[in-house]
Amino acid sequence: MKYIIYLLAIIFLAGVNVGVFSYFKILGVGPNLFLLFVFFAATEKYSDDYLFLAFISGVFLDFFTGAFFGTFTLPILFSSFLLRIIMSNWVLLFEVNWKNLIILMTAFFTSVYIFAWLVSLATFKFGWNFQQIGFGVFTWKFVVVIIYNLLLLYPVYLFVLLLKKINRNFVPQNRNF
Amino acid sequence: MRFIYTKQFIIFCILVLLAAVLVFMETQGWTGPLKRTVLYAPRPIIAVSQKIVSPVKDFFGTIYRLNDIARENLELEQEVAGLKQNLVDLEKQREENEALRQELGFVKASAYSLVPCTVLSQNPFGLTDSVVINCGQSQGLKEGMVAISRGYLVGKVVFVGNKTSTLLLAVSSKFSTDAAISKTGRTGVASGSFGSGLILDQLSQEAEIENGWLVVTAGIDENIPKGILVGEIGEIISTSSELFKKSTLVTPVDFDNLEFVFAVEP
Repeated sequence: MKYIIYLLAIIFLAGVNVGVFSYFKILGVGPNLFLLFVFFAATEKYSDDYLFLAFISGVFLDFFTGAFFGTFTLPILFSSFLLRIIMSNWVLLFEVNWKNLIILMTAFFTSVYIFAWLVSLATFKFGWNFQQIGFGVFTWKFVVVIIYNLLLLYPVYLFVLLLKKINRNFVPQNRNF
Repeated sequence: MRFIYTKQFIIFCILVLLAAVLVFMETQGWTGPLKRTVLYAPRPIIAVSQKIVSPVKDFFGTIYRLNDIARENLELEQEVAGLKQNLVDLEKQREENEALRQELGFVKASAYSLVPCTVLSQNPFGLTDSVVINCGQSQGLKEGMVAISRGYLVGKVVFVGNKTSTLLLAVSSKFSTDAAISKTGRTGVASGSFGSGLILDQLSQEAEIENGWLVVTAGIDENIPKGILVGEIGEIISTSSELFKKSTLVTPVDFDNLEFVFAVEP
């Protein structure tokens, strides 16, 4: 049941991201609610559900950007897994405050973008991909992406809390995310 | 390295493997049904949110641009008056042309046919310069064909699936097409400018250009019919010392909010 709820949540986020934020772009850049959602899921210490969310979000992102499959799925999977390792080994629970979250979120986005750029470059070299993500995504655009997503960090966090609540109601025995 | 003995590492490996299978399927062109399902699933939410957000944005946008709109209105009124006069002249010329063609036995040039398509994804993340449309091979689309919106060129089909296709937007830096100035017939290359607009390049320095002149496709590429509107000449951005003349192209198309496009069958 919880996986169906996750799937519906991702469909909802896709709808909001495309339907609402396409109209509110800052300097041609929109937020990425999928990445924020996966980020919060990966920072949740006692659940492995973030991997499922990372995979599904990546699939949605790949298809919605029209990129070659895997351009975002693989980077999101790797980056969320990396984030979890960092969270489990180096960041103690009491250290997770908003300041650290902002740093972690920036690192997570940077990691996803760099991996995506590399995957896109590799698939382009293999001749599988007709278009490569340009290095332009790392210029001023990236700063705008980070700022825009930071503005939405708290609303997405509230959405994650709501989802947790729904999950608890539907799956009472589930103590996970 | 403790993490490699954990359950999450096994799940991670399974998902990477699954992604690799999907990558293989993508190279073989077998992901079409999955792509369609994913792209269509959020459509009801997108439709509802657009219905709510679009009027709100239009309302505030109109208030914000009220001064510009008044000025634009004045300019347009003057332009309409001029165009009306042109229309009369053109109508007269058309009749003459028709009569002459009949006299000479010319075959009427056939107009290209249009395939209406809905934009399934509108590049919401700004990561790529392409959109996915709900037309594919089954609707007769082929790679290299172009699409128009509001009569203007919006992009080129770069990938064709069975029922969906990917359209590289004209504002992408990877986009280019042959183009000609409608008034003089001088040819150049219209290309995207890093998502910010279009430019007309490769024009000879002797070529005469003026603000507002229309630029259309030149018809050199066999997949792109001649005479599709690309834009209007904006400002000249090259200097006289450069090898070619270059100018910006103004298009009324909102590339961030495309909803419908027409694929042009040559």
